[in-house]
This record gives sequence, structure tokens and C-alpha cells, in this order.
Amino acid sequence: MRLLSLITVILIALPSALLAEFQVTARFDPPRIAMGDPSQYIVAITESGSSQPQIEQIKTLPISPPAGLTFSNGRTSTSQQANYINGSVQYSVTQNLLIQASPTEIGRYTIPAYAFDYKGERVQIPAATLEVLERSANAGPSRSEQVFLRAELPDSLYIGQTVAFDLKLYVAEDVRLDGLNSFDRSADGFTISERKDDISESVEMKNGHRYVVRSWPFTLTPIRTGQQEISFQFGLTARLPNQEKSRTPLGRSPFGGGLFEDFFGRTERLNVYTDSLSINVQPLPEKGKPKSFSGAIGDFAIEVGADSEQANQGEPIMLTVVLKGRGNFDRINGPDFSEGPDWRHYDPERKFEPADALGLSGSKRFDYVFIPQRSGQLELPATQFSYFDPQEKEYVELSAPPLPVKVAATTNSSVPTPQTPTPDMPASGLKLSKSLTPEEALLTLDYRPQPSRAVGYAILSNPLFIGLNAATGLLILGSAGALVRWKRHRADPSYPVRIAARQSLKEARNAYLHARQHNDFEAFFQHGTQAIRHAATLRTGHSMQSADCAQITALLDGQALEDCRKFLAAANARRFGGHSQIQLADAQQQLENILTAL
Amino acid sequence: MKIQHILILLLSSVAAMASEAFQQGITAYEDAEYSAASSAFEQALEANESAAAHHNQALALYQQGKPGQAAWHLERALLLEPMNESYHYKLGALRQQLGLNTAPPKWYAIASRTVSQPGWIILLSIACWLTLAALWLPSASGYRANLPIKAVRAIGLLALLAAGTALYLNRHLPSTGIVLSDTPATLHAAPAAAAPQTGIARPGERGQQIDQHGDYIQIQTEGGARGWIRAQDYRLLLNA
Repeated sequence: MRLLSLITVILIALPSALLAEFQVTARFDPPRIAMGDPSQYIVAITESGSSQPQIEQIKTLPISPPAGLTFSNGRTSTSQQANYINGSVQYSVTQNLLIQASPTEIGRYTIPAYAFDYKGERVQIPAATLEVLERSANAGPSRSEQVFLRAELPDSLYIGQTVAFDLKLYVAEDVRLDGLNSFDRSADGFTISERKDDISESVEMKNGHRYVVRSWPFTLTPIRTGQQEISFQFGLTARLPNQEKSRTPLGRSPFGGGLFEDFFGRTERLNVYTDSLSINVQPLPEKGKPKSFSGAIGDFAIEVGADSEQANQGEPIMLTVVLKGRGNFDRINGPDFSEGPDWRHYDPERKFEPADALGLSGSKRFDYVFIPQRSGQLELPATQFSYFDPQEKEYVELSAPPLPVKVAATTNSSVPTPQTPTPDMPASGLKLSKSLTPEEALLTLDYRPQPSRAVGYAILSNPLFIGLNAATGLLILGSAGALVRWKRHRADPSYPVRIAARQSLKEARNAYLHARQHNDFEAFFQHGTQAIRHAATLRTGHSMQSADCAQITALLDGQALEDCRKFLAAANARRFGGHSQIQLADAQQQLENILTAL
Repeated sequence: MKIQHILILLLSSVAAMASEAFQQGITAYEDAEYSAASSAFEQALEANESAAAHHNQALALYQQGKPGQAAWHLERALLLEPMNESYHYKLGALRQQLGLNTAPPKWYAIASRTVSQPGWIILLSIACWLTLAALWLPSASGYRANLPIKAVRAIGLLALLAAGTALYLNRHLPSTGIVLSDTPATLHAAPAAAAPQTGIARPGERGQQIDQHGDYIQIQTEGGARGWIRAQDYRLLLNA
């Protein structure tokens, strides 16, 4: 019994799982309109199956609108759906073809049933009818009068020419725009700049109605010749007033008719389109096209300059070309310069400074680096630039004369003057045992690592290095000092006596100063006398430690002699008598005079 | 004794590691696995720097489309082995491909690199003290200089002259570096990306470091362009 139920379920479910089905409908939405209101002819093809159906894009329909009805702005949209029924999934995909239908006359319009091929099958499209009624006398403006889109484009353009235009959305004063939902454009034969967020708003009167106009700036560049179609579309949400006029004979209701209308107005999602726009795109004329033409269209002026009038060989010079004016700057790559023997040049750095928001006018700067390959009086090549003027419909060639540059021979090998090393002449100038091309050389490994040497200047901060140098310096200085003393020893026998006397004099002087501070008369005179004897030894070169007063005073004269006699007398008085008449301060002054004289 | 043994063992193991990584790099390079080769040569360089490892690293980087870094390693290899003809040739070939000057260095520039910088400094200090001693000590002692002392003076003065000249010729080496970027690097008028452009430094181009501020280094390229470059795009030759 269970097996039978299972087979029954499979037999029912299998065909529906394997077979995908088409459901096709056609209708006008809305099917009944007042004259002036828009409607859409919608063909919906729904395909369902147990696996995700793949849609086939429908591009055309084999129909033509009846007289009095025009079709425009056809587009497609798709929607997908997945349903879970008893654990199985059912997919469905709906492709909608939406065509804007605009009646020009009151009447009843029928699109008869027809068939077309879809995914290899013949699909039947049912008939659809649109009824257009006369607009009642008290009806408000039609929807296409309330909200509409306009773009003013030229009838004719040249391929590659860039023009600016404004896309304008007109919204009637009594319509409140709640939001823009989508923006789309159909322009296969053009490149169009992105929609900018900075819109401008203004108020315009049109056909006696007041509109708030929102404008978006765009640039348009044709990329195909021939008659090219272009259209724009906005999906928007707006609150529309009631169609029936609710005005009193005196105008708006004194009780706030506007508010009343707003309250009872209806919010609708609308699609507004531009009228069908067509531009004749012409090719650029071949006649008179200069060799230097590279696609610039507009009106330009050229400025050329070099950053220096003299340079060394191999030293780069900047040649700057500035294009100013209005045109398709984004397609201009700058003048070409042919390669010559005197100069090597590189592709330029480009910088565009727009003078308007769309970048249609401004200045574009090209910085070329030229490197002189030889010395002498050279000339930077002449600059040739041409463009097509769409107003005058002719090519214009601009040129700048060659710029003289005095190039001096280089003495600096580090300046880049690229040469071409060949296998016979290695780049380094050193001979190789085997000739290799540069490419071959750059692929050959070194298989023999050798111990590397130290490089750099870290040794200068090495403590060992610093210590060794300091020790060496001290050693040499010490040796030199010792040698000097040894030499003097040899040359002068009194030298050691003098050296010893100098040292002893220093010690005696410190001692008598110390005694002076402590008012120690005895010690002061004792060390003072010794100091005089050491000073006399230093002067004579032989020992005066046992010299008497006469021997010492014989070395002096004048005031020093007098001071010496007084000092020695006072010292003797102190030494042998235990007292002296002299003050220590006077004695110290006498002693200093004696030592200075000695 | 134990410390000596440990040091010897440590040095031996480091040398063995470097040799192993070097061989791994060669094998990877020959198998056209250039990224792996580059990693292995890097390990070899970290363990024991050698001109051959720098040279091979340069080739591996060149194969990976990194000519700026390749140029740095070749320059470094030549710093370690200045008389290696093959390295000179390859650096010339690479610089030619990069559109840089390929003129051979002058003889005195090569001669100044025959001895390493520490070698010149040691020679200079020895010559300085030797000359000083030979000039000063005889006069201090009162002896007349005999022929051997005069010979020492002459040798010392010659060594002093040679070492001083060599160090003078290499005086820019501490600030010399290479542009590492693989595409021309922008030089700015100030150490900021938003600063106006003052020039272009080409991959592998030599430059002299003038100043440093934050992540930018001010350089003057061999082509004469001067400006601030991102620190990651420039590396000093002595900065191993």
C-alpha cells in the first residue's frame, strides 16, 4: 500500500518537476486613461519549474502600435520567486516588457493577439485594449503635465566630441516629490558622465504652470557614428493632488484647501522619461586632418616652456606643454615627440586642472623629461598639437618653435646617460671571460659563496678600536716626554737639581701659606726660608740648601735684597729669640717679593 | 675552554645553516620557484652575509619583477666584492634595463673600494701613529733620523695619503641608498603625500640621503631630482 502511494505521488510530481511552463499575459496599465495621461503596455512572461529557469532576454516584439497611439521607451524587468510546497521548491521567473503608450486621440486601441519565438517555442500573446477618454472639464492637469523630464541636446555631434547638458526634472508646484528611487539611461552610442549629487533647483513657468525644476549636469560623448538614440528615466515617488479641482470661485479654499488636498492627495510611484531623443553623430572629416591630430575636439590654446636653457649632458630637462581651453580633455594624451639622436624623452606626467564642475574647460599640463645625449648647442624639438574645432568644422594646428638648450659635457659619472652595453663591451668596462647578453647574465647564479668582508664605519664606535688608538697615542706621548727629559738630562747636569728644586719650592710654598693661615710664626718662617733656598737652587742650578745669608742675598738686588735681609733677620729672631717684631702679613709680602726676584 | 668550544660550535652551526639555506635557494631558483628562492637567500643572508647570497637574491627578486630591490642587492654585493667582474656586468645590465646610467666607475673609485672601509680606517690610524712616532720621537730624543726611520716616515705618509684619499672618495657612502620601488617613485616637496611633486626617482636609482622626517626621507637622486620619498621606497647601502 505504501509503495502504491509513493508511485502515485511520483507520477503526479514528476511531470511538473521536469516540464517548465510559460504563462504569458498582455495588458495596458492602466487600461482606461484620460487624454494626456500615460499608460504602459506590459507583456509578462512567467516561467516556472522545479529548477531555476533561465530567462532569454526579449529585445523586440513583432507589433506596431495602432494609429493614434505611440510606443516609446521600451525596457525589460525581471522578478524571481521561489515557493516551498510539501518540501519541494517551485521556482518562477517573470520577465516584463514595459513600453510607454502615449495616445494622441480619444478612442479605443487594441493590440491584437500575436505570436513570437521564445526559447525555441512559439509563444502566444493575448490581445490587450486601452481606452482613452476625454478629459473632463474640471479635471486637473494630466500626470505628464505634472511631472516630466527634459534634456536639451544638440541635433548633431561629431564622434568624440564632448558636450555638456542639463537633465531637468519638472515637478508641478502642487506636486510634492517624496523621493527619487532610480535613475536609468539608454545610450548605447554614447559615454555619459555619472550623475552628480549636486543638483540645482529653480522655478520655471511652462504653459501657464509653475514648476520646480531640478537640474543635473552631464557630459555626453558620442562613440558611434550615425543616428543614435538616447533616453533618460527617473523612478520617483510623488504625492499628487486630487484630479478634481477643489477650488472655490474665489480661488483656493479659505479653509486651507492646499492642506486639504495634501491630506487627501495620493502617493504614487512614477516612471518619467525624456522624449525620444536622437542625435546625428558624424565622423570627423578626413580632409585636412593633420598628422599630429590625436582626437582632441574643442577649442584650445597651447603654451610650451622648458625649466632650463642650459644643462649638463645626461641631466634631465623638463619640457612643459600646457593646453588651455574647452573640449574633451579626458581624451587628450599630449603631443607626441619623435625619438632623435640628441635627446631621450619619456612619457609625460599629466595633470588636469578643471575650470568647471564637468571638466569640460580648464588646463591640462604635460611634463616631458628630456635627457640630452650629447653636449653642444641643442634644441628641444618643436611641439605640434592639433584639434578639431566643431564650431568652425575644421582642424586647427598649433605649434611651438624648438627651444634652444646649451648642453655642457658632463664630468659626473653618476648622471644617468644610459648606454647600451653589449656582450663585447661589458657595462662595467671590465673584461669578462665569457660574453653574455644582459638577459643571460641576469639569470646566472653565483654558486660559490665566499666569506664576506666587513663594510661600513661601525669600527669608529668600536670600544676596542677607540681604546687601542688612545693607548697608542698615550704611549707615543709618554715616550716623547720621557725622551725629552732624557735628552735634557744628557745635555744639562743641573737639570735634575732644578727639577727637584721646583718640586720642593712648590711644597714649601704650600707649607708657609698653610702656616700663615694658622698664624704659626715658627712654621711660616721655617718654610719661607726653605722656599727661598729652593728658589735660589732653581736659579743657580746647584744646591743652595746649606747656603748662608750672604750667598742668597748676592743673588738679589734693590728692594728684593732689602726684603731678603729683613725676612732672614726676622726668621733668625724668631728661631733663636722666640719672637720677632714683624707682622706675618708684611713677612709674607717680603717673601713673595724675594721669590719673584729669584 | 668550555666557552671556547661552545662558541666554535655555535659559529659552525650558523655557517652550516647559512650554507644549507644558500643551497636551498639555488635549488628553488633552478626550479623556477623564485619566491621560495628569495626566502632561502634571505635566510642565508641573515645567518651569514655574503656577496654571492646578495647576488643570487638580486636575481631571484629580478625574476619576481622587483628590479629596485634587485639593484640594491647587486650594489650591496659589489660593496662586499668590488672586484667581481660578473657583478659589475650584471649591475650594468640591470641598470641599462631600468634606463639608468651604465657608465663604468672611474679607476680611482674602484681602487678606493679594494679595501673595505674598516680596513682603510685601521690603515689610516696605524699610518697616523706610525708617522707621528717616526717624526716626533727622534726629534724628542735628539737623534738624527737614519735611513730606516726615514723609510718608515715615507711609508707612513704614503699610507696616510692613500687611506685618507680612499675614505674621502667614499665619504658619501653612508648616505648612499637605492630606490627600491618597482615603479617610478614620486618625490615630494615636503615629507607628506599631499605635498606637490618635485620629481621622480626611478627603480634602482642611486640617491644621497639628505634628511629624514617621520616616514619620509629627503634624497637627491643621481639624475638630479631632489625631494622626499617614502622611507619604504629607499634603503641605504650600508643598512644591511
